[in-house]
Amino acid sequence: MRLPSSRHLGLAVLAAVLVLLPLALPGTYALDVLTNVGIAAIVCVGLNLLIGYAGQISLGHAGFFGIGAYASAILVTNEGWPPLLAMLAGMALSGLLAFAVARPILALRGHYLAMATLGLGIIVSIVLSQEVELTGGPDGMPVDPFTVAGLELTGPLAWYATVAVSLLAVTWLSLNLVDSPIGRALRAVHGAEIAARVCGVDTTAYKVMVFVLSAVIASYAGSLYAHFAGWLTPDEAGFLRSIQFVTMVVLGGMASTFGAIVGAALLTALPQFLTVFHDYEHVLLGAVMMATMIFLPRGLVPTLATRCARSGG
Amino acid sequence: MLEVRGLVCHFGGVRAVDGVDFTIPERGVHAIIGPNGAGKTTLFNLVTGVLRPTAGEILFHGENVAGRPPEALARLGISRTFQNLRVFFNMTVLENVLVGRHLHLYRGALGALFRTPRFRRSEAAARDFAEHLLARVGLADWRHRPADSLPYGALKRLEIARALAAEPRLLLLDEPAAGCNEAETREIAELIAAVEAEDGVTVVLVEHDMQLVMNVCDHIIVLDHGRKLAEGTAREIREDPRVIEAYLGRAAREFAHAAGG
Repeated sequence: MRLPSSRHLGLAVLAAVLVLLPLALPGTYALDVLTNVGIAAIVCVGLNLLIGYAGQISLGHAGFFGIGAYASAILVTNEGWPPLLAMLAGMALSGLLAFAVARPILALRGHYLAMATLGLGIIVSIVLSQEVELTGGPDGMPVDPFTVAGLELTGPLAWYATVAVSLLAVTWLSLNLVDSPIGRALRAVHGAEIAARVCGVDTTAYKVMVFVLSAVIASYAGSLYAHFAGWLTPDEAGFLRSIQFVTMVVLGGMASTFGAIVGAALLTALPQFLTVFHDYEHVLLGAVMMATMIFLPRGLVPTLATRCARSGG
Repeated sequence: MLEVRGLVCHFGGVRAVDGVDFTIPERGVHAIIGPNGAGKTTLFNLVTGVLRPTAGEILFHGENVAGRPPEALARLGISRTFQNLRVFFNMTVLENVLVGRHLHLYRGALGALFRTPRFRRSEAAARDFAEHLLARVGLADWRHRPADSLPYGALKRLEIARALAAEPRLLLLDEPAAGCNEAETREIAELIAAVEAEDGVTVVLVEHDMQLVMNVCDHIIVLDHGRKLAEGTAREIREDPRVIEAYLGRAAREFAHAAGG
C-alpha cells in the first residue's frame, strides 16, 4: 500500500504549510496575497487533471473562472440570491457548457484544440464585456459579500481559512481521482493509447469527464474570487488569465497535483512582491513558459522529486 | 468461437491480408505462423479492432464484429499482447495490470472522488487479483517498480499479465517468446498451457519460435503473402510440402541469391 500513504503524506504536508504560512507571514497584505494564491491553486489543481493527466490543453479556462465569478456577482448582487446557491448555479452552468462543447472540442488535437479552447475563453470574455446592463461592461461591477445563514465571511483571516480548506478539499479529490481507474486510464492513454483501448478504456468519455470537472472547479474558484475581491472586471475571464493558469501548471509540473499548487504560488506571489514582474507580466510569463519547456520540461516539482530520490537513494 | 470470412486489409497498394478464412473453435491453443510480412500481426490488429478491414467478416460467437473499436471488442472478452511492446511505461508494474483489469472495476466518478466503501472494496479486490497474476508470471517482487525499469523478458510477461487481468475469453499473443532465452521461453510455454487448461481461455498466438509452437499448439494456421497457405495439426504442418517450400524454399533461394550476388 505505497500509494495511499504517499497521498496522505502529501496532504498532511500541504495542510501543515497552509496552517504555518499565515503565522510566518502575518499582516493583511500577506494574507490577501496568500488567499489569491489559494484561489489560483484551486483552478490549477483542476486544470492539471486536464493538461497533466488527460494530456489536453485548454487556453480558455479563465472563461469558466469568469462564468463562476459573474454568476455569483450577478445573481447575488443584482438578483439577491443566496451566495451559496449562486455559486452552485455557476458551477452547474460551467459544467453544462463544458459538457456541451467537450465532444466536438476534444475530438481536436494539438494546435486545433488549443485554438478552440482559446476561442471559447475569448467568447466568454467578450460576452461579459458587452452585456453592460448585466455585468457593468469593461468597468466591472461590485460584488456583495459572501454570507451563509446570515453570517458574513469577512476579514483576511476568515477568507484565507475558507480558501485554504477549499484548496485542501480540491487537492484531496484530485489525488483520489488520479489513484482510481479513471486516473489510471488517463495515464494509460498517455503511456500507450492503443493498449489502453485494448484494455477496454473508453478514452473519449474520460477526457470529456475531466474537462467538465476542471471547468466546475474553475467556476467554484471564480465564485470565491468574486466575493473575496468585491469588485469584478471581465479581465478575470480574459485571455491573459487563461495563459497564467496554463503557465502555472506547466511551471509547477504537469501530472503533479502538488506541482500545480507550487506553480500557482510562484506566479501569483512573485508579481505581488516584485513590481517589475507586474510591469512586464506578458513578457515574463512568456519567458517563464519558454524557460520551463527548455530547461525543465517536466516542471519544477517532478524534476526536483526525481533529483531528491536519486541523491537520497 | 472466432470465425474469419474473406478478410481483406489493403494499405494503399499493399495487400497485407488478402482474403483469409479460418475458424478458431472454443478452447485450445492455436498458432498463426508464416514468414515475415505474411500478414500475421495485421490479422491480430483486425481481430482486436486496432485496424478496420477493407472487406470481410469477423464473427465472434456468431456476431459480426468487424470494424468495431478495440474498447468494444475488449468488452466482448477479446484481449491481446503486442509484438512491439505497448507497456504503460509511465506507471508502475501493478498499475499496468490494474489498467488491464479496468472493465471489472467500479468506475463511477463520485465513488472515485470520495473513495466510497464500494469503491475501496473494488480497488482492494483488484489489487489482490493483480498481485496474484503478477505472482503467476513471476513479477511479484517487481510490482511497485516503474514499468520502464524492467528488462525485456519481464515486460513480455507483464503484457501477458495485463491481458489476463481482463479475464478474456479469447487471448491473442503476438510473439510472446520473442527475445526470450530458452528458460524464459519454457516458462512462457508453461504459462500459456496453464492459461488454457486452468482458466479455460482460448489462446491464439503468433510466434516464430517453432519449437514453442509445435509444443503447445493443437492447431496451426500458416499464412503467406496475406493468404492462408495451410492449416492443421503440428504434425500435418511439419510435413506439408507447401509450408516447407514457403519457409525453406525462400531461405534456400535467399541463400543462393546471397551466395551468387
